[in-house]
Amino acid sequence: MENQWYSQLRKLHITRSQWRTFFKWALYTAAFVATVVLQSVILSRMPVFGAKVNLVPYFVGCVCIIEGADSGSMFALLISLVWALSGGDMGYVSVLVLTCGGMGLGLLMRKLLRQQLVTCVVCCFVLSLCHESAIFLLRLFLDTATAAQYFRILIPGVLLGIPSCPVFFYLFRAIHRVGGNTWNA
Amino acid sequence: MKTDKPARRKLIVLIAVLLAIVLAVSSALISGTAAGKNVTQSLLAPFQSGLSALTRTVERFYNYVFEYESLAAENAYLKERLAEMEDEIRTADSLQRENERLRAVANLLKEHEDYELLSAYIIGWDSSNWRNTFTIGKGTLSGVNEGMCAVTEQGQVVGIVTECGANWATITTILDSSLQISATLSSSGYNGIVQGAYKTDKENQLRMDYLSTDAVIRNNDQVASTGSTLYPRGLILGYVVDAGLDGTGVAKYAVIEPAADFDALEQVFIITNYVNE
Repeated sequence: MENQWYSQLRKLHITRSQWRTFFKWALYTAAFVATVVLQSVILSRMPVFGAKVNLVPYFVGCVCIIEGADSGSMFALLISLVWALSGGDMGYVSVLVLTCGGMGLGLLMRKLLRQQLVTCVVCCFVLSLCHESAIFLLRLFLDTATAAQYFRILIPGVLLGIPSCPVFFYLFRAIHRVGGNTWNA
Repeated sequence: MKTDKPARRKLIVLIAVLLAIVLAVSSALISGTAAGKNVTQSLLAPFQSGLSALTRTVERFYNYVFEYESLAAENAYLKERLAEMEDEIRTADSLQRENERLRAVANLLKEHEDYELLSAYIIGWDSSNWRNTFTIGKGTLSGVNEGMCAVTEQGQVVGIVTECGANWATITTILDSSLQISATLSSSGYNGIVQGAYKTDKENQLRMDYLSTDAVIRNNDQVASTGSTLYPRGLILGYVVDAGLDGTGVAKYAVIEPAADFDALEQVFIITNYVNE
């Protein structure tokens, strides 16, 4: 009986590398909360050229590029759900586009591209453009946006997020080194 | 046991699709605030409040440091002007009449004694380019409820509470195209519907539709609310800056500059109770 309990308890033991992985994902989560709060309190108060920036697609894109398709898309699914629940515009579109887009980016990086800042910027820009375009198309369909606003508001808004990419890229590379891909090791 | 990776990916995509469908259906069917959103916003609200308060402090410090000299010069000028005015008050009858007009304004304010106002600071703005909403740091615990009207300290309409949690509330501003308010031209009494003018080039203006073709519309005409179950009568929405016949040709429209300065908005007042005339 005692041996049985002991063997059960041993399963609960968390190795050092697993702790480091937990810590890594906790850091990603903290970075996400900081990004959302910064965005809603400061950045959304200061539209540039009439457009507001949405950093969440850039955040998701960078995480998926650094962490790969599997872990990255799972994290993208969770944070896009939190984003949707925290009042993000057309949150259900975000859940679908960011999860699938993040997975696509992860696979693309593994099979075709190298993990560099330039490719990260281009890929994140494309993901953000797809995300904002999907919301825009739905709004166009619902007659709450006009076609002219695509180039006047949407494109500047997406371009405004590019400066965040290097920050995310280097920060997430540092966070990645904390835990590494050790969960299955 | 390790899961096959393509199978895991398919599972993640399937979950994403299911969640998207559930969220889309629930947001369409459930009026008000969903439980999940309430929990998420309630957890985020303290962080937003903290950073918002910090930002205000930094702004005040910045203004103090960098605008001190201009404020000192303005102060000296105002003191000089005050001395001149005090001298004139003692002698001029015209200033006596101005004083009477100011008394009339004070009487006007007394007419709104039925308002119960609750002050709240803005803790977050929506990052979407297609909505115009913001979050305040007070919710149902402070007596805020959905449908209440938010105004500035001068009684200018800001928007309506559309979502409400325990310690937060979302206010959809009058600039948002989803909000429609019944309004009247104060000078001529013609009625129409005011909503955010997203279809014009200027997103920060309002559009008053369904005005009669014989309506007399002048620049700078004041537009005020006609009153409803959501907001009281006579609240200022803005001033007419342009007008014309709408696409159908059977009604007129007016373009309105909002009275409230949304760029400088920091604090709003929620009308929690009023007497509906």
